Amino acid sequence: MSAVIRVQNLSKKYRLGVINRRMLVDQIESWVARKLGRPDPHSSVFEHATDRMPTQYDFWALKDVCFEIEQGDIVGIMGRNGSGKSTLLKILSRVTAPTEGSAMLKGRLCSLLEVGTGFNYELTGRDNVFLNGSILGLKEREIRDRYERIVDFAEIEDFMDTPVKRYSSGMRVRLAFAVAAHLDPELLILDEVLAVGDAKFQEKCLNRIGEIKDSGVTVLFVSHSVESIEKLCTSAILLDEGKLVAKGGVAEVTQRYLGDLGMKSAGGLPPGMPESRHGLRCGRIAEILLEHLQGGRLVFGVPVETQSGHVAVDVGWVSSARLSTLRTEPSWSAAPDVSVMVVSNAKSPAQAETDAHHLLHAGAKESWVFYPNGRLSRYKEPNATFLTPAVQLKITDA
Amino acid sequence: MNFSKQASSSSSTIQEGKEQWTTIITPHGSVFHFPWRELWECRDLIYRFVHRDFVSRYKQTVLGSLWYVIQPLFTSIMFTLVFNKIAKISTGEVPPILFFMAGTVCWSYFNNCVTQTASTFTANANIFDKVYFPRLAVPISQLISNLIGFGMQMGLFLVFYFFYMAQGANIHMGWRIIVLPILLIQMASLGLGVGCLISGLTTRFRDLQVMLGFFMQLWMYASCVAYPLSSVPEPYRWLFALNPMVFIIEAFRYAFMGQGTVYLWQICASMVVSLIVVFLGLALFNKMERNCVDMI
Repeated sequence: MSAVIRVQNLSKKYRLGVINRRMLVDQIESWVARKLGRPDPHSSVFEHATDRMPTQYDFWALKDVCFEIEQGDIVGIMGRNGSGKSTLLKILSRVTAPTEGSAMLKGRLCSLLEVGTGFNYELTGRDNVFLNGSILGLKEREIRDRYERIVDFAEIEDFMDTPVKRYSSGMRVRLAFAVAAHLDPELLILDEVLAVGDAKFQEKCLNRIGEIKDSGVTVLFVSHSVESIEKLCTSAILLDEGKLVAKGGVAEVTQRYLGDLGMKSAGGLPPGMPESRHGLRCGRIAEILLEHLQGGRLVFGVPVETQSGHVAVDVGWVSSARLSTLRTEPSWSAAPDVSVMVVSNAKSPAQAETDAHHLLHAGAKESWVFYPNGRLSRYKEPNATFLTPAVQLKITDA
Repeated sequence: MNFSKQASSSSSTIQEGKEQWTTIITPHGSVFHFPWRELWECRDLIYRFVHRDFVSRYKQTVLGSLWYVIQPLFTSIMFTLVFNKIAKISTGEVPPILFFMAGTVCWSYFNNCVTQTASTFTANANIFDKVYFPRLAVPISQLISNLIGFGMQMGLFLVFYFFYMAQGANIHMGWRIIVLPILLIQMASLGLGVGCLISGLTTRFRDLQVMLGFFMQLWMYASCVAYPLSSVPEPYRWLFALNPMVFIIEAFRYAFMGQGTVYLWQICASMVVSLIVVFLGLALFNKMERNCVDMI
């Protein structure tokens, strides 16, 4: 087997700290003000205080990333928000150019950073299949060959000559995914576009991805979800702050990823609060959950849709059976069976309690609030019994 | 998967590698490289873009298509009233409305090409952010789909043309008509060049987008749309030769109506200026294309 993707010292720099004056008028105004020795009307507070231009500083979204991928590999790319996953994919799909280094690809690459790119609602479904297919790099002839299959897959034969603006949003997504699923590229880049449509169609999508996987296509798959990476990938890469920190088998990389998350899950932590303490608390809860519950998995920092918007569950436990019925991307459609909110400087007790109640309404069987003094409040659904009757509330900060 | 710890660095492997890799992504591409082959390969995409524009712009509404005819008609009538009847600018033996319509039809094609190319990056940000294809495919497809509108306006022009011919006006269409395709190509490429230059600036400064309409209007008045070049005093005519649109419009009138001022040196100047603009425009576009996504 030979490498089909080779990435050498790939780096991407963004320049931050420069206030971009979007208007030429503003630029001129600033320039005139400087010349006249008056304060710049468009400067930031920082500029006023120090009387100089804000220093530019370089932010490396990717730094010296090297790896090789061989034909037929399904590679999961993991990392927290802002770790450089999207930048890597954008460079590989040639949407943006790298600052240093190079990447070499063998074979036709299709990148699906979203489904339905370039859909025009005035056009009929049929025309959109052709337009979208062309944008994704198919030739007219190739789309014609696939047309029947695409229409079958989308299950909207009767509406192919109707303008897409009259489609329901579900139909639009189905059509878009159907095109995406029939590209048959040699290299495929997927970015969390998996779960679309209703449960039945979702299953169909997953099956199709399985088929693609078996057909020897090399896939780069980006996801926050450890679950889908474990299900689909043969190997994985972990990025952190633009650097490649782990690569290899799925099990070890996901282990590392979860470990890092546990320690650093307090992303929005205010200064003064030691990160490790929050991490330790989450870790302690996780231990307790693992001790008492079997047949499920732990999750950290997952966003859950509730009545009052998204709530991030610090630690959660979800049974495997239930997990398979949930949509987990981009956010969870329901709360994990046990959802734990950890009170910290970033999250007041009142906030944590409110969130806990919302989580109960969002499908959690139990939700816990863990206070800094070691106290644990447990809330459950009215008619349910506690999953973990024997938990001893002896948690204190070690 | 085999993650080689050190990416192969021996020169022999790289030599060998260059032959088998289909795509090599590097930081800097050549600014003066024009992607002919890539564009040819994505001709289906260009066709699809044209088809999309055709359906959403012309086919959807009857009135939508009608606009393309109404606009030059009313502009020509207005110009006839203002410049011919009130300002008493002579259009020679050519019926005034025909004279002005010739200028308006050419100008509106050029104007559409410039404004649409100029907004390439801002209008397609959502697509450019997700998928790669040669970005030039977008403005090129616009040049082509604008031909549809141009065709309709030409139809209107020809209706008036044959009407006046039947009335016995002193106009005659000769063999010179064969230059029309050349004029069209020049207009399209000039529009592309200017549009590319402006698109580079508008991505940096958004307010230039507002200025664009104003700028194009000024340019129109400098382009012999509303007066013949012969009415410009001799000492200033060389200045007009720098403006390629003057030549295009005058040549168009000369081709259809046998009246217009076209010198050989004027043709050369216009071609040279157009070539320079197209060259600079494409170079800037190439430069922009690689990192536009980070700036929008």
